[in-house]
Order: sequence, then C-alpha cells, then structure tokens
Amino acid sequence: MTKSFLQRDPIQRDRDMVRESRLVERTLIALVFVILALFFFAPMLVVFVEAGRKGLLAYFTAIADPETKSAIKMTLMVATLAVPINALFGLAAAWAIARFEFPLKNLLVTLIDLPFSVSPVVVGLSFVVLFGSRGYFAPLLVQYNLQIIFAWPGLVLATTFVTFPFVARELIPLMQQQGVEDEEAALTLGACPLKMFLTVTLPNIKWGLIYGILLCNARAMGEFGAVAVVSGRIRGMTTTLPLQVEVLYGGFDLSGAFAIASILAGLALVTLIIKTVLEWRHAADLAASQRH
Amino acid sequence: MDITLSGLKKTFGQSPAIHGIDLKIVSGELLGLLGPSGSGKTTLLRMIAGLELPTAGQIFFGKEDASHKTIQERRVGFVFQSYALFKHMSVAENIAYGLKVRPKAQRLEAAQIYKRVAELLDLMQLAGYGGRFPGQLSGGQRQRVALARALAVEPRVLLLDEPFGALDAQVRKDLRRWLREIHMRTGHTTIFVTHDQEEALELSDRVAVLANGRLEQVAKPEIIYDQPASAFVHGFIGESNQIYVEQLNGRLFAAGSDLHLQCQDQTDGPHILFVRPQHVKLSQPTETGWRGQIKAIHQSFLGRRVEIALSDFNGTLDAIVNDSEKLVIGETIGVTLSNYRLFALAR
Repeated sequence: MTKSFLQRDPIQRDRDMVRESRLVERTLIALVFVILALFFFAPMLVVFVEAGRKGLLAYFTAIADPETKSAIKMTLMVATLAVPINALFGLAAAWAIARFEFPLKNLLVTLIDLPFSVSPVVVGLSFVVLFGSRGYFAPLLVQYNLQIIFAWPGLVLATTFVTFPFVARELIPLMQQQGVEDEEAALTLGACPLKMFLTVTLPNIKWGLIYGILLCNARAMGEFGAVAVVSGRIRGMTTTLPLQVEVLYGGFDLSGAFAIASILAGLALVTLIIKTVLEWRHAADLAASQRH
Repeated sequence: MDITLSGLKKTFGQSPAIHGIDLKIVSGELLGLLGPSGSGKTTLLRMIAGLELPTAGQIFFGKEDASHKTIQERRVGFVFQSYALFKHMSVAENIAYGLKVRPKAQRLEAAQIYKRVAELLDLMQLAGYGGRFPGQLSGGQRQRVALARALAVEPRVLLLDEPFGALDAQVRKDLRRWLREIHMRTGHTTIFVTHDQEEALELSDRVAVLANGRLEQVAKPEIIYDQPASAFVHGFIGESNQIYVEQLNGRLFAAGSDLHLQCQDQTDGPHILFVRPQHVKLSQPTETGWRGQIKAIHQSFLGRRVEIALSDFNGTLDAIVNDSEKLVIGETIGVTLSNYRLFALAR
C-alpha cells in the first residue's frame, strides 16, 4: 500500500518535490558517461593505439627522427621562455589589480582576457603584419639584423600572447580574497617589501601560482593556430610538436603523426593528474582565506 | 613613549575621514578610541602605524617627528582585527617573525630569539603551543598569538584594531581582563580601537570618543560617563532620555510650559536635555513639578523600568525604579530629575 503524498515523511517529501524522477536522474548520468567516452576516452585511446600500430621500433624511429627531435627542442624552448615571462607578467598584473585602485582598472581586467576571446590565427597574422619582412617594424628589424617571423622569437612572442591570461586569472581572485592584512602585518613587524613578498605573499599564493603556471605550460606546448602562422612551418627549424603532427599527417605519415601526438597526449594526462592534486590544495587555500 | 598627534587630517579622494585631530597619549597609558563605525577610528590608528599617510598634520613618537618615517622605522606593534597570522608558519615562527626579518646587524642570535619566543609563549599562557599552526587554534588563542607577535619586536607603541571584535562574549571578558594585566606588566603605551562602549569604559585609562572624524571628548571613563562634553557623547555612551527644550531669559520651557529647572549656560535658544533613566525619580504629584502618567512597566532580571508619558508637554521618559515601589499603569505621578545635562543646539 502506498501512502498518500501528505502522509509521507515530510523531509523525504520536500526532497522529492525538488528532485527529478529516478529515470531522468539515471539517464542524465549515463549520458554524461557516454559523451565522455565518445569525445574524450575514445580519441585518447586511438592516439595511443595508432601510435603503436606498427610496433615499438617504428614508434621510436619516428620519435628519433631529427625533425621530431628539433620539434621537441623547439617546443621545450618556447615553453621555457614563454611560461616564466607569463608567470612574471601574471604576478605583476594580479598584484596591480588586487592591491591598487587606478583609472581604467576595469579595462585592464578585460584586456587580460583578450587572448582568450580572440582567435589565435588572428594573433599570428597581426604579428606577421607587425614584425614580418614587409611589416611595420621591418626597417628597424633589418637595421639590427633581427628576425622574428619565421624564427623562434616569433614563436615565443605568439605563445606568450596566447597564454598570457592563465597565471593572472588564477591569482587575481585569490589575492583579492586574501586581502592585504598579512602583508601589512609583515611590514609593521619590520620586513622590507622584498622580504614581505618572499616570506608572506608568495607562500600565500603558492598553489594558485603553480596551478596557473601548469595550465599556462600545457597551453604553451599545445598551441597551434598562432604559432602555425608566425613559424612558416620550416621543417626541422621552426616547427613545434603540434605543427610537426600536422606536417606528418599532411604527408600521410600517420604512424609518425600519432607517435608525436602520443607525446602531447601523455603530456596532457600528466598535466591533468598534477592539476587535480593542485586544485585540491588550491581550494584548501581559498577556503582558509575565507575562513580567517 | 609619548605619542602626540598634531592637526592630523586624512582625506580619501574627495571625502574627508579625519578632520584635524590633536591628541597626546602619555607614555604607558592605555587609551581606548571609541566611536561608531565610519567615525575614522581605524583610519587614525592606521596613520599612527604608518599604514596610511596623513593628508596634513604630524605624528610625534616622543620628541621625534615620525610623520614621514616608514612603517618599518616606526616600530609599532599592530594587532589586526582578523589577527593576520601567517597561516603557513607555526605559532613560534609567527612570534619570531619580527625578530628574524631584521637586518643582520640588528638581529638577535638564534638562541636569543628562541628564548624570547619561549618567554612570550609563557606570558600569553600559550606554552606548549609553539609548534601548532594558526588553523589549529581557537579565536582567543589566535588573538594571543597576534599580540605576542606584536610584542616580540619591543614596539614603541602597541596598536590594537577591534581586538575582541570577532570573539564570543565570555572569551571577550576573559581576554579584556587579561589584556589589562599584560598592559600592567609590560607597560607599553597602548591604543585600541573599539565600537563597544562597555569595553572602552572598562579597559581604558582614558577614552577618546570619535564621531565623524572629530574628537568629541578625551577623558577618564567615569568623566565620559558622568560629564559628557557634547550631546553626541551623552547620546552615544550609556542610556539617555532626550527632551528638546527652549531657554529664554535663563528659564527653560518645553511646549510653552515652564520646566522649573536650573539652566547650565548663558546662551538662550534651543537646547537638548539629557537625563539618564536612573536619574528620573518618581514622587507624589505636586502643583508646580512635572507630572506624568505611567504607560508601561517592564520587569526583568536587570530591574524594573517604567515608561512615563509627561502630562504638561509632549515627551516620554524611561525611568529605573526600586522594585519595592507600588506602581499601577495609568496612575498619575510626579517626576523629578536628580541629575541632567543641557546642550545648546546649533540654530
């Protein structure tokens, strides 16, 4: 016998009133898993399966190829330069926004997000127009014998632009939330500004900073659009890993393309794992600063 | 260390926060800065610490003009409202911080720092807590760590911003008594900010009452309570009844009827009369005296309070009366004031 609606336990009744039926609930959860499997697990799996299709020997031959080695080197170099630059930029921007009031502050906040909202190809093109052999700054560059477009400085420039928001975005809300009292306390206790930064500010934002750097690095190594335009895709010279994948794929070297793709995919997995751990620590920091 | 503020002003953008304050705090004194929120008391404290720069005026530490000294040079102990403990450092590391960040030439040796931290932990009744982290402490314990950290640098003046603001009533009471003891033992010149009048009156040697960025009165607690210097102070501190009255040729009137009260100044014109509930006395009604009707009687564990509607002019008074008096609602009674104060109103 079923009880009438009003006879049932009131708490259970209230819960039922805001809850979808069991069927809807289970269908939605199942759908999420199907979508994840189709669009996330399947592609990742395919990358590794395809990479290993012709055996380990073919896999390592593809990776040992001089062009691939050059691409790995280029990717590492670009990331090694772009990530620290953006860590510094991001820290400076977050500091300015979280600590000071100044005119056009809102505009600055919006500008920081610009790289997220503009297509990377457009970024690449505008750098070519500025620094290319017929660009606005061409006479100056020729005079000092500098090459930016179709060379590594262009890659670093484009990557730095595209990955600029990651560190700043992570730090701004964190620093705003933490406020200035800890830093003021350090100053009243006699710390000079540098000591205050190293002993109080940096430990407070440590996890957010590392988290931002990690995301920035993942994007720097995986960036395709902007880098594709400014690099000129000179094989063995200015290609990075994502570009090399495309080059090989275009030349119908599927196993080669997937071998390199597997490096990038592996990188993504490592990033994901570290990210999960960091997110956990970072969230604890945010919670602590809210609690006081 | 004497602290002297001279013509101190502070303006944020267009809006003035402090209007020009002159105040001398004597060495070893415990001064309470009391005022409603927005009165500028925290701004004043932050200016003494060097966390805000005054728009005009000077701050002297002893005879030395500290107005343009950096925060670090002023060597003040500042205890923040939310304590601002470094949460990644242990209690001992927090307390030692100010000793460790000093330039090498002025720094104590590690063994001496250790000794000083141990002494402070003892003084704060925190012995054994040195290895804990701020997150593992109660609110009252954190407050004591913050105070120990501020005292560690042997500050020239100790500044506390709403020191008990975030604590529950019982802890507040204990810490208040204990802060008084610490102050007696260490003898630091201490300034603390509070919006809690009970706290200010109980703890301070002198209380400075601040309203809208101006000092209303600076005096001992009993003087602040018994002889308020302004209408604001009388209304802000303790309970008061207020009646608007007119002074004419040395006599006081309300709604045209003579109040038969003594004037307290020479200026004719509108005044405001303050009387505390314990100074309103009930008696048999007389021809010339004030008469009123009992509107309500409130009996509580704090005593008996009576609300009286005055008969001869519009006005109500709260009175605190003896439990033994027989009173009936609606009864007509006589009213006398055993003490009252008059303040002239600006026309």
